[in-house]
Amino acid sequence: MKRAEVACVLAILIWTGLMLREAMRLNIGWEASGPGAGFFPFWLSTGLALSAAAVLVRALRSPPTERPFFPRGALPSLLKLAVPIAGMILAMQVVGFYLAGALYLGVSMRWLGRHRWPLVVGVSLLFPVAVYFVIERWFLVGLPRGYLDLRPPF
Amino acid sequence: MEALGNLLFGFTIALTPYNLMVAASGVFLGIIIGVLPGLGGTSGVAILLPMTMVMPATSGIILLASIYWGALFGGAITSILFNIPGEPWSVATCFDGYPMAKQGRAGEALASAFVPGFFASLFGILLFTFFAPPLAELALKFGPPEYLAVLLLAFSTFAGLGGGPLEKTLVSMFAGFLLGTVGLDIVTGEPRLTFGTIDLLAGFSFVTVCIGLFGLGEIMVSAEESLQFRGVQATIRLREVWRVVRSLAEHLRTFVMGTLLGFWVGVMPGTGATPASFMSYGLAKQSSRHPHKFGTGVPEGVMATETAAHAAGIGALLPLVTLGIPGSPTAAVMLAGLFVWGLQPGPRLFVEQPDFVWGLIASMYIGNMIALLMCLLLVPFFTAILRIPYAILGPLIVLFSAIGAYAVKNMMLDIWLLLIFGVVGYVFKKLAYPVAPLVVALVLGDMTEEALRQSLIMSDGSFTIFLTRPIAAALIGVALFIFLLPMLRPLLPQAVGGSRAAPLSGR
Repeated sequence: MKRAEVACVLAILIWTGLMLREAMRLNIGWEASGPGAGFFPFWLSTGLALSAAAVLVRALRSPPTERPFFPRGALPSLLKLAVPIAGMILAMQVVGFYLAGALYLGVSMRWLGRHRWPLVVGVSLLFPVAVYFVIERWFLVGLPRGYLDLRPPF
Repeated sequence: MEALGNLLFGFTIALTPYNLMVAASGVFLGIIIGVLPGLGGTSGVAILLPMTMVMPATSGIILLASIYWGALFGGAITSILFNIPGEPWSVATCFDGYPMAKQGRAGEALASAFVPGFFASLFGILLFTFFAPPLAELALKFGPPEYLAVLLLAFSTFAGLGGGPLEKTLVSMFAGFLLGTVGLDIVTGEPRLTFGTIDLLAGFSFVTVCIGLFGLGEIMVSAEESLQFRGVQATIRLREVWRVVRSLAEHLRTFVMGTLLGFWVGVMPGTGATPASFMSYGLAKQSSRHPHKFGTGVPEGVMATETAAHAAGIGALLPLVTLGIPGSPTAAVMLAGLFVWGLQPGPRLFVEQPDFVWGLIASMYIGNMIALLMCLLLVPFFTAILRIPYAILGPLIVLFSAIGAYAVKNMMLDIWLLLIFGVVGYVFKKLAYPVAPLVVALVLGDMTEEALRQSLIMSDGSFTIFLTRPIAAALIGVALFIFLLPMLRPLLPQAVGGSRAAPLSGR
């Protein structure tokens, strides 16, 4: 837990450093009409860096805890959730929402839930059709089509 | 009595068939969201927010508010029957609700959650109806300095009353502000913190951040736990409802305390139904004549939790409508909705959009009534939803989150951000960083900056403007006091022990 705490706050500090460098490219001082464009980003990053430093100091000074960041079996089940999501988003870039979504749903159901094939195929086919009619037709929200620009056949 | 006339006007809007249908479907979806653990009311509202873009603003807010009411009701069902909180604000409902259900009193436990919860909502809405207009009228006199002072007060309540470690609250808040400054500068028009990319010019979408932090983050946390739903079956009999209604007189003190406490905590910016429910349970236990019985299945325990949660949900909308400041994270998502519908949040809503404000207020009465009826009649149906396997439900929630994130700006980047903020939300939750300050700072960042800049333009760059205007000075004084409260706390000898006990940073 302590190592995770330190790693997390270091990640925050690195991100803050990047933001700070980006803010410094703007005017962080006072202009004739008021604060420059970089004024708020600069001071907010500074405030964030100071608070994160305080977290770091407290984390380093605290005694190590018994409780691990990942309880037993937590990391595999977390990866089983997160990796398919990342894969689905990658696929969505190429083949669009409907195909990527159906594949993701099918893979999760078969691989994680060990459901029977008829159910897997049924739900994976029903989902894109339902989403198309409710979301695109009814609520008029366009969904990602991917580089291949796949459109529903109807 | 002007409020009554306005309320009647509001009912003419909320009772149109379309808005009535919107309220009913919102409540229905809300109860489902409430019943499902791992899908909170805040993320539910955020995921469905983009769907309201095609609706008129009034119907949009009615939908989102109704989802909130539904989720407030639904959380109790899972807590009582399965001993798994459906929502963070119904954690304390498990303490006494589940023991009651195991003793064969599931129906009574459910009725003790729904009926007092409904009356607490009703009481809260009455307070709302009569307090909101004068508060908005007062706020109309506010200039930018006063407005900035109110915002400072809002942020200081996070730091001062947040309960968690102060430095983590500050990290969360600064990160939210910083994310809010990404994009075009409102005054100079220069791109800020975009790392030279075009995609970031529009800034971070609040909805994406919210769905990621709350929705995906929660699913990741619950994926670790692999929940098993083995619970009690129940239907609610009319006899049980009557018994609870009659017992309200007996438990009047618990009811009034829970409602008033909940409403007040709800009004306080950033602290919503979750802390209210814990505080009310603790208070009811402390002030009870038989505190040792709490946790073994006493209806007061359920009642105290649920009244406070429901009243807090109503209270959270009071500063939202009158000042443009959200009273809870869920209200913060609704504030983002106001921008999406093209409305300017703040007290001018009462003057410029009376149909929106009064339509919303009237729909609160209607929405809560629909929620009560649905809950009393349809408990078996809603528990059946929990039998849908997680391997189907989880991916479906993820896919709908992706739709919600994409719909705001039609950019693939938002779907990637969804995953990134999901991981951030997961890590923050595990390491006890409060998430609420981040989302509220993100949604209020622009307004804070605008108020500060306008004040400084009024005073030609001098900060004394905040000290010479009495209302602003007084509010800033209060804000400073609340902000410094955690540092003063160790100086008070008797408060050393339990000061960290109550987790206040929730939704």
